[in-house]
Parts: sequence; C-alpha cells; structure tokens
Amino acid sequence: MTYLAETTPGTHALTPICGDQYVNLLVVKFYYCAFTVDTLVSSAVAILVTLAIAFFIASRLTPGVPSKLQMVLEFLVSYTRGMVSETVSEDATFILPIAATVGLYILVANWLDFFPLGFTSLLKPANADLNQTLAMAIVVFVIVEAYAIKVRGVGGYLRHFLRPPFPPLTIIEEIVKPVTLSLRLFGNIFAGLLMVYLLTLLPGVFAWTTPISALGVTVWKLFDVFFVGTIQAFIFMLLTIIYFGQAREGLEEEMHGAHAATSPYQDQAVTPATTS
Amino acid sequence: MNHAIALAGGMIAFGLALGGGAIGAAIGDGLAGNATIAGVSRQPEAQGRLQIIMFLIIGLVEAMYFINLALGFYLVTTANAVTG
Repeated sequence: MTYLAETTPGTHALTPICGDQYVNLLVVKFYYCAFTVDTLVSSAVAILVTLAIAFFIASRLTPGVPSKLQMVLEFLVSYTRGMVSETVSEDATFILPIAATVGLYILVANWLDFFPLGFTSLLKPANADLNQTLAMAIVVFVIVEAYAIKVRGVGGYLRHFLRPPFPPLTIIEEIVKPVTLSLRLFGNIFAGLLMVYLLTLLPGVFAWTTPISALGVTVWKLFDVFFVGTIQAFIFMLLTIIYFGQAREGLEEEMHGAHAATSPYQDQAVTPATTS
Repeated sequence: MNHAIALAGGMIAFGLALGGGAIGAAIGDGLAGNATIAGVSRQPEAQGRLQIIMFLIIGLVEAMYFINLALGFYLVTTANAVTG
C-alpha cells in the first residue's frame, strides 16, 4: 500500500530565495520571497501535458472527417464560445482563449491527480496549493476589472461601485470574487488529497483494514478526480465567463434607455400601451 | 499545557466547522435535487439540461464544505506546529 501513500497534505516545503529563513510559517516576511517548488514542478508537468494535447490535436487537424479527440475539443470550444457570446457579448472574443485555456489546464491538472503522486515529494496535485489557484484567480480578476474599465470608461467604472444597495458592499463583492474562486478550487482538491492521505493512514493503525483502505482509495480517487475535478474545472471556467458578464452588467439597459429617450418614435411606442 | 489547550480548541473548532458545513451542504444539495425533480416532472424533455445545472449547483454548494475542511485542517496543523 505504500506506493499509494501521499505525503502529508498541507506541508508544502517552502524554498526561500532571499530574506530571513523562518521555520514558523506564520511569518509574513517569509512568504514574499519563497517558492513552493513542488507546486511549481507539478504545475509545469500539467502545463506540458496540456500543451502536448493541444499541439498533438493541432498537428493532426482534418477538416472533413475529424478524429474523436478533435471532435471532443471542438465541441468544448464551440460550447465555450456560445456561452461567452450568450453571457457577455458577441464581440468579446478575447474571453474565449482565457476561459478555454483556464478550463482545459485545470481539467488536465485535476485529472493528473489520479496517478499515485506519492513516489516523489516534488509531485503533488497542482491545485492543492492556494498559491497556484490564487494566482489564476488574480489573473482572471485583473483582466475582468480591466475589461470593466474598458467597457464602461473610468468614470462609469467608478460610478458602478456606487450602485443602489450599499456602496461598501459592492466593493466587498468585487474583492470576494477572486477569494472564493481560488478557495473553491483549492478546497476541493485539497480535501481530496486529505481523504486519500487519511485512507492510507488507516492500515498503519489497524492492519486488517488494508483491503478496505485500498478499495476506498480507488473508489475515492475515481469519484474525486473524474467527478469533482471535472466539475470544479468547469465551474472555474464558467465563473470566469460570468464575472466578465457582470463586468458589463446593465450596460445594455443604460444604452437602450439613452437611445429610447432620444428616439423620435418614443411617443408612438408608448401610446398603444397606454390606450390598450 | 498551552499546546494541549490550543490543540483541543482547534479540534473542537474543526469539528464544529465540519458539522455546520455538512448541515449546510446537505440542505443545499437537497434543495438543488428538489428543484431538479420538480423541473423534470414538469418538463421531462429538459432532463439533460437540468441535470447539468444540478451538478453545477452541487459543485458550488459543496465547495463551501470543502473550503471548511481544508482551512480547518490548515488551522489545526498550524496550531499544532506553532505551539508545539
């Protein structure tokens, strides 16, 4: 059973490159100048696999009769494109590469967790580190805010924070977006890792639970990787698109309202509703 | 002594967080399933689309529980490391 055992979850070895070296993880100074090498290595593996899949499909494109893998990817891309044009706007085509890349990368990184990664301490589930997911969420957050400023203009962007309910609440709402986005993915993957770790601890306490533990790890990994991992990758992608949609929320009504106020046909449009 | 108190407090807090989180996640899952059943019984042909949405909502709802679990574990291990 040892080959299935994962290393203790939550203990990412920090490798400082400058500054004072504290053993205590609570020292904030330490975080600014240190890397979790295991996450870097495992996310590099996930990135390489993602790129390999994408380039493999791209090198074997057949327009008339697509291969099965090409069909799957084409379906995913067209589904994402439809979602973007439906949720955000027709002309916001730059969202498709961001959302599809994030979704495919997280999917691959989550599915790689199915393999027993315990044989070296450098390979862990890439998304079981908050640094990794928070980095992705902050990238998404920055692009969303930049898009909001571009669409609304600086004045409109700032005015958008003063919308009715309670101004501080809308600011908190914006800040909470990347936090929940990162914590959701991290929590799910980390909890899966934790469960595998606890199941592999079981035979050390009671020797007779070895077959139960082996079966439990297999079943749990199947569920966690192929159900939870897929759903979390999809949710991350979907929320990215929804945040872009919220960045221009209410814009159509404002423009429509301004247009209707200056329209010469306004009286004719209103009259039938009042008379009927 | 301080270590034991901190660890015990952390464990109790972890248990409370897990219990409350499990209650919330279960209620949320039940509501999502309830709404899906109602929708399917009204419109049986919409079952495929509704199931996708249901799994999406379940993923969102259970994420809160998993965040509890992960952060609680972090707190317990950190309390262990700091005071021990």
